[in-house]
Amino acid sequence: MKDFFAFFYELFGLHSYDIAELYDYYATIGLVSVFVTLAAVILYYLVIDPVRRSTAGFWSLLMVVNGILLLIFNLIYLFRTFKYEGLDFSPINYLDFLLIGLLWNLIFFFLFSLLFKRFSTNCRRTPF
Amino acid sequence: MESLDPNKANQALPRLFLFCIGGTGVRILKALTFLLASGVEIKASQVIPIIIDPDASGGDLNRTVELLNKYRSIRKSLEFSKNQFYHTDIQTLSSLDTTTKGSSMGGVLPPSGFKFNIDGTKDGKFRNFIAYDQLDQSNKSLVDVLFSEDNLNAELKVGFKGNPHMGSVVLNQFKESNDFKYFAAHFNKNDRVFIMSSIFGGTGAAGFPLLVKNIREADRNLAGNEFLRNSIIGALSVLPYFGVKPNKKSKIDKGTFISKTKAALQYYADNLTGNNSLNAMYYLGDTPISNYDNHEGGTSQKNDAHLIELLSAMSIVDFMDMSPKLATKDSRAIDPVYKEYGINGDVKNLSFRNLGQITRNRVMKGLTQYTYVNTYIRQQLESSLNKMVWSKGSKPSATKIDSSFISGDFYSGDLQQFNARFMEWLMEMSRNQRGFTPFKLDINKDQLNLLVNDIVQKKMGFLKGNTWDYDSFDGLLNESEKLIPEWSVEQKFMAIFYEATHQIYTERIAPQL
Repeated sequence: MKDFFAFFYELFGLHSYDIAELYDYYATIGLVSVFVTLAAVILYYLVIDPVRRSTAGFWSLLMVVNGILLLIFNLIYLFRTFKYEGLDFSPINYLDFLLIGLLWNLIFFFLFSLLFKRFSTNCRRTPF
Repeated sequence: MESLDPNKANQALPRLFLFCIGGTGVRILKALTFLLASGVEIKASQVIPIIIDPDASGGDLNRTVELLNKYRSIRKSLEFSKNQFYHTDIQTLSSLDTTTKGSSMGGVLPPSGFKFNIDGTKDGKFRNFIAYDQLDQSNKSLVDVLFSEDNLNAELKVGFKGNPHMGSVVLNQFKESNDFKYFAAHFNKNDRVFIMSSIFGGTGAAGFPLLVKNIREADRNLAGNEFLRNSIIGALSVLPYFGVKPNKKSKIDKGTFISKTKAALQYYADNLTGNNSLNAMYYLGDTPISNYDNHEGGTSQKNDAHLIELLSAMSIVDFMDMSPKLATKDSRAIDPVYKEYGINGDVKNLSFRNLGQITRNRVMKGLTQYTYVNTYIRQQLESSLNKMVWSKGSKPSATKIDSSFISGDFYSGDLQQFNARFMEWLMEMSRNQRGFTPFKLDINKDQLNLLVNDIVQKKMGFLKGNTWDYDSFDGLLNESEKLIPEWSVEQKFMAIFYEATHQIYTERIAPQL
């Protein structure tokens, strides 16, 4: 599982040997990102299926908010875990990783949207 | 959602030739047109209105003819498997000539439009019509006894100004007219006739018995005479339901309405109902509360719509519902039916609650659906267009209902104008006396549940109240659109609005009745 998510997080040039201590947390962060994003997309397209908020603008906002919330989660998660293990955590050192995580969250949101929008009544044409 | 396939069933239904005589007949026809547009079911494969009104420039007449033309124009673009708005086929008499019948009629030209032409009524005075100046002295004296100087000098192009004795002379030209021959030639065995007129005016009171007589005693040389003589005929006679303001310049006096009605009823009792000429006869009337402006005719004769006209239109629906019961033998009706109508409660302003169950079942759904459509168009269409799935289409290949549709002929040329008249009609009925206010037309956008007066709509969700707004409406439109993404834009527009409002009615309103 770690290797699986390592493929995603290291796809853009970041390598675990640069920040080796992150490798152990790829799976947790990756799974949370995928399932939270999946839940957000299902909630949007199938559960709430909003009429008035079926615009590309609102969908984009939701995607960004989802990404930022997960970024904050990743930040807190890494901070607490590192602290628990007695390691130093300075966000600036992991900025690359956090931004790549954010990018993948946006991509997951987009891909899940393409998958689920066809099952929606009011958001079938959202974002396009 | 139920699937409807009325086209096949319609083929077995009779056609209805609907004679609308005089101003009241025309106003009832207007009410019927709105009912049919809203999807009220009439058991007729085609409705063929024939307007008999010498007042060719009458405001009501011309507005109604324009409305009928719009109805036909709108209907041309529609289909009816998922839409019942404009379902009933309204045709002109001339449009029936699809075979060689017309050519075999030896020079009889098809009538134009919905108006029935009677020779000699387009122009000139009554004295010219009866060739008064060519009469010998003894005949002139006889005519002088029967007709006043005012009668003789009356212009026929504005009708008979409440003088049935003039009308009975002029309208007796029926059977000689081209249009009557044309009607007879196209009348088939199972077709039906319904005649609507008022009893307290001139044109209707005179024209109705003459028309029945000419049908029941159709000339044996006339094509289709056998079918005509033994046809099923229904009729509606509207008793006084409004008055007119005193006007010294006008010959119409509301003080004569009751005496004219009594005299005409006596005549009808002897010559129509008394000899079983009619299979079904409806009487409608009301205590005249409103006094309309007193115009003898012409373009200024535009009276507000009245509940009686709507109830009258419903009598036509009722007549077509009586399929197996009515029969005719040797030009006489077997077991004729006579009907009146009563409302629940002597109130000044009625809602659907004041109508009987059968009437409510017939008209409430259609009128409610169509009013919801109009309310949506008025309050929300602009905001939702090009944004909602129903407008953009649920898939890229779907037909788009966009700004070009709104600016096109179908919508802006016909539908928008028809709908404006529909809303105007509702408002007129509401402000008239006795009023009929089935809908609250000035509701807020977030309180669509208040549209139907006197009905508390059903709550639709566990946590939701019974208020609902255009989000829900758009949601229903989106849902409907999924079923028909690639229909033509006109069909799609009507069908999704029909389906959405059908859901609103069946889920929120029908359970509360």
